[in-house]
Amino acid sequence: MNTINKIEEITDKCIKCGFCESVCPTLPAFKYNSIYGARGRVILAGYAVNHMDEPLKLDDSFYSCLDCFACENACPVGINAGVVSELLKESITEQKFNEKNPLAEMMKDAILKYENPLGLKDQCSQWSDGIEFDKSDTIILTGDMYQLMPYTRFINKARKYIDSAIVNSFSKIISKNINLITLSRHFYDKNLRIKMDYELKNIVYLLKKSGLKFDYLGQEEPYPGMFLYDLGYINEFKEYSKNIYKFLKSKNVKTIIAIDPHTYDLLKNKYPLFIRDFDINIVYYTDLINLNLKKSDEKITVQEPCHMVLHNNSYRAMDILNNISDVKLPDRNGKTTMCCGGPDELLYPEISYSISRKRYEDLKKTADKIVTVCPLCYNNLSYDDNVIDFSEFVRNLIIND
Amino acid sequence: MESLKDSVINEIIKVIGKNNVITDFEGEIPYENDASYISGEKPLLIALPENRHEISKILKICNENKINVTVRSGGTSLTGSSVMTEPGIIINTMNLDKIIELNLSSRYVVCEPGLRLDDLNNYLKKYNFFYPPDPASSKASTVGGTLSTNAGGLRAVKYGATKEWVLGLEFVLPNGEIINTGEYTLKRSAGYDLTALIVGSEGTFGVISKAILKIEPLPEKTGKIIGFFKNIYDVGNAMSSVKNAGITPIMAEFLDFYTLNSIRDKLKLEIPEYTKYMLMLDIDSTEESLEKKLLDVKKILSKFSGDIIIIRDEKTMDEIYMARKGAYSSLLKERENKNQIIVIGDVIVPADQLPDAMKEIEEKVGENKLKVTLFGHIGDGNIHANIFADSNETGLKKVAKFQMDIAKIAIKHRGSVSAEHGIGTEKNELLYEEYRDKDSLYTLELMKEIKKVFDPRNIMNRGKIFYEHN
Repeated sequence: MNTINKIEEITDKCIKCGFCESVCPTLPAFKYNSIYGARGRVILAGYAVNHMDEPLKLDDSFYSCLDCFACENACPVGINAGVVSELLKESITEQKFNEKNPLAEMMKDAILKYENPLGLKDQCSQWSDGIEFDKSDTIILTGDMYQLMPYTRFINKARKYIDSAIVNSFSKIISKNINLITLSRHFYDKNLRIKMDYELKNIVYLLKKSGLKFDYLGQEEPYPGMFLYDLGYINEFKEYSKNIYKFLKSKNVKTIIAIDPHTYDLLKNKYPLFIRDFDINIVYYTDLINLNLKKSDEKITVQEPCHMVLHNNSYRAMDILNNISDVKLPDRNGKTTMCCGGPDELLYPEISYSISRKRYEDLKKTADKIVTVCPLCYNNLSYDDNVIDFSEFVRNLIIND
Repeated sequence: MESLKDSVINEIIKVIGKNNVITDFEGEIPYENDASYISGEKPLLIALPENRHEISKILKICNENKINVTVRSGGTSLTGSSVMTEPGIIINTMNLDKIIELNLSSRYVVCEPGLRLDDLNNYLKKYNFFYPPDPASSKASTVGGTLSTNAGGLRAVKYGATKEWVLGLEFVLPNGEIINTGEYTLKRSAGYDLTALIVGSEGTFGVISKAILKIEPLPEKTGKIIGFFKNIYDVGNAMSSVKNAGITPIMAEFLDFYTLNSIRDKLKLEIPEYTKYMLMLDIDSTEESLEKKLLDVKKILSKFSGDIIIIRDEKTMDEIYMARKGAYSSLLKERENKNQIIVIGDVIVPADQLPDAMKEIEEKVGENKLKVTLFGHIGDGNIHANIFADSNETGLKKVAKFQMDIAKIAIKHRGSVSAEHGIGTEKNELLYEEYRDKDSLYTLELMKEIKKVFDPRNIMNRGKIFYEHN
């Protein structure tokens, strides 16, 4: 079945009840302009596949979808509007509709050339300097997520002052001279970089302290291609993921410990779709933590990550936190959790800000201390110093550390 | 020279800014539909105002230029109320979504029209209060939309429909005047009750910009009783017996076998093989006396059914409640193909007439050779007949005929053609029939005159409610 048929099959089921848009974080952020919400996206997608000859402008509607999948749990007929957005983005990159998104194109070009969306492969392994790893067929794979946050934060600060048309023109220029993207290595939030490096070290510490033996590929660590997939470059991702898999097999990797929800979800659920007989075991680091922890006397709230709770039905981090602290969750929790807005950070920074601010305020009403379990969530919600990464929070509670 | 369309669009943009309007082709597409099967015209513009003053200015512009205006919020109408019968402007009130004031001792909450009902109730729950109107669409439907259709819902048997729960409104008239109706008080005897007139007017008078709503403390304790039945008479008699014993459930729902089957996996109940109907009652009471009340109801139901279940666990009760709320949507999953639609009927009869009305509806189903499933709010006599049909002309004609057939049954039994979904464009002929049968067509003429007082230039939601009888 081709992409268009897949879209049609889903959109035909839609009953237009609007339940999905009641939980869609982007709809209020776009002031309730329907095509930036789940129902509007499904309706627009249905229209687009039935009017292929019309010159429709679709990219902003579907690229702004956060892929949080909150809509799936609200839909009475089981439609996942996030998947519709994924398929539309794929169709756009296949040039079935209007012109491609220039910023997305630029990141795709950078990934294909540098194995990193900002051309920062060398910078992404620097956090591990001085850490000794074991010789093992189990590795941690960072997905470059923690490492990229200081750069995206800097870019976003700058982007707030630049019109999107200029950003698009600039992206087109960089795409033509893709080596220019490596200049981004000079532009990052220094404090956040220190923080992110620290959290990466914390994660390694927690795993080691739990008695695990594992390796890290350092400068050879491959970027798994998350942005290729998320931006709809599925054809490119197919080839790319095969190469990554081949490389990992050449390194005799048998188990990957993912340390952020997005990379975990990609490796666990998307790689096997494109790689026949995929046989690397994928685990999430919180599932492996086995530590003697003391109880915190602080009341905390938690930003449950969409890619664990909504995509993978995984609550291990919550179980740990519930055992060691007084957890109070906001109204939207568990299967109704709300995205931090992070996935829109690069393409739609104002929208990402609006969503993250709303979520931060909801969390703050619940408890002063916010624990995040995903680097995107941390980056987007750390409006004050009382936002803390899971790894740091847990590390502080290790008995006899 | 600038066309009328362009000049109106430009004027509205001047008033609320280009970021608060939708004029692009793609952006307008979703507004051609609501949750009904009825498609409307493509709007010239969708306005997304952020306060009453912006609404007022938009209406003034449209009034001066005689431009059709349809108001919309959650877009959950099942009768086509929130789509346009002719080109014009849509005012989407979703950006007015705030809770302005809560007063527990005086039992009211003041909020804006774009606030969704579930969001309101999630907020009130923290204070152990709730707003009773409870349509199945409460996840998406809004204060403004449910006021405009006088929505009912599952709890209407005890708490009545939306009109019982509104104390006052801030309302923007087509000429731009902002008026206040009602007050913050539970009692008021001061002139015509314009609040009551506006509730259920489906956006044909103007735009609600604020509402003062009554609230109630949450029931102290509730339990659920479910019974399985071989025929509708036993269901009706069981329900009547409960009521005759002086017990008013907070929810009293019935489902036929087909509907039951569509939500079977969510109910997680053992359903006896003989079942043709299921009755579910929610009973509330104090902590101390709930058990006795549940057993009293069980004893009454046992006279009509051999299988009665009592559920006390809140999580299970919630799951069953959500399954029932999702019944219509679950039926939609059973469409045989994309061209099949399910039209939901919404007739109501006095509760004691329900078994007879149901029997006659079942006969009409056979006569019309249609696939129809039945469920509804038995406590208040509201029957939802869900009609499976092709979306082509022949299919729609069959639906219209069957809708008229069941409307006539409802009218015969002293009921109405629409209990809680409103009229929209779908039921205007049925509404005409209701008053024709009562020999009271002048009532409709009076309604039209009232509409003229509010909206003399006829800009608000043209083509809704009234049947243009040739």
